Amino acid sequence: MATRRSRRSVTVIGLLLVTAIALVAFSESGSGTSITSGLRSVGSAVLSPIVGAVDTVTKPIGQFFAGAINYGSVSAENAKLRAQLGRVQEQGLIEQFERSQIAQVAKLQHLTFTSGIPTVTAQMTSLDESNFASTIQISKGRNQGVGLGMPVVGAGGLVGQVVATTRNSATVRLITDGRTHIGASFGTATNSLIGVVNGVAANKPLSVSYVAPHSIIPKGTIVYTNGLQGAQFPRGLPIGKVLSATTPTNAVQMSISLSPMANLDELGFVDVLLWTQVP
Amino acid sequence: MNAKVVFRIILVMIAVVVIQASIMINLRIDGAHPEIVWLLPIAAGLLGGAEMGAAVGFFSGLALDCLLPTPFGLTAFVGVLLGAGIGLLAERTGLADDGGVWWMLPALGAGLSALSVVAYDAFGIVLGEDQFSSIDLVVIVGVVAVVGAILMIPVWLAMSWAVGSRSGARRSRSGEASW
Repeated sequence: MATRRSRRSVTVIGLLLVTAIALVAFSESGSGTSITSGLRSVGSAVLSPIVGAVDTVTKPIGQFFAGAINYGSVSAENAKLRAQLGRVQEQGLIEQFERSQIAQVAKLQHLTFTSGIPTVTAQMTSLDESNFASTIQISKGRNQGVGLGMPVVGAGGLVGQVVATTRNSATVRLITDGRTHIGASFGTATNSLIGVVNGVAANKPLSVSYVAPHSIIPKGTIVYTNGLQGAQFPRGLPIGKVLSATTPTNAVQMSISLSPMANLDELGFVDVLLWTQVP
Repeated sequence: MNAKVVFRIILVMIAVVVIQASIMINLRIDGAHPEIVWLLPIAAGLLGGAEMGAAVGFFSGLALDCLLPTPFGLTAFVGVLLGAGIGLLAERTGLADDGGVWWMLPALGAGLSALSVVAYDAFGIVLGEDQFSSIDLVVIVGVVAVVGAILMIPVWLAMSWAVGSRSGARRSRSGEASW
């Protein structure tokens, strides 16, 4: 009897393990993503309303303790205003970048980016963050022209990149996600530097790689997308502001940390740039 | 196992997953948040053995995977290993049976949930997920372990109620081991 039960246990555990491995394999392989995304959608459809309801109840309590008052309808209004303010700040920073880079820009014959890229404004519908990844869901998808790889901006700067789309929604990988790597430039026209901005984790500063040691980078310097040929983002989108820039002893590159320009904690609305990568 | 027990276990699993996805996700300490979902297979394994631990680990992990941007099924996979492992250990040794010392459950909650995070990270790296190698694992493990130690007993009591375990009910009534 005990042996039969033991055999059953082994069978059940084995089946569960095989199923879990199969799901991971489907998730990671291109061919099986429709299966896992379907399962994910069903599970999310069941759980998200409950999570949302609990979040709605508990968030005001948390905000109360954090000193926030007048939560409710004002919150949505604030989100819209923040988005508008972010756009203005973002435009100002882009213009600042344009001015500082004008000497170099004038030398270029083929510009990969000019202002006036068409945008689609979308509302953030959920924030999917864990200790290991950071994405958001937005309310616009393929039917509104949103496509894979398109940059997403809002609340003062670059927010992330579209990594999955459905007809009427899309998944945006935030710039803080560890999979983010963005070609960037910063500095003045006479002291222009390039590097690669990397996401680390949610609520963690961004890091910058491949900047030559002992480069002069004042705290507060704004870092922009560089838009070099083949880049994933158009040139001149503000990514972050330098928090610290040091050269460790014997290092071959500087250690630079950035705070994102976009306030990723307050993303109510974002703009998807209808821009596709130039090969 | 009758339908009533299954229903109660599902209820406890949903409650913990919802708390994880709504409250715990916002409790960030140095960028890391607690992960209490690992406590479910630990409690189930201790109370119901390897089979129950694995099943609870699988389904609670799968439910959380639906809400996470990480590889689908990875939490379920680690959950099965965790539940089955602790269940086997409990079956063989009588770990955390009646009369267990008061610190047993918090210690298991801290140690095993920290181990789960490390395993999750390691499997993620094996799968080629860039971001798994760039995270500050020490901070995450610390936060997960501390909150795991604190919340192991409430989760264990909830699972005791779900499976109708006399030992759990008795412990909670008598305060036999401080809980």
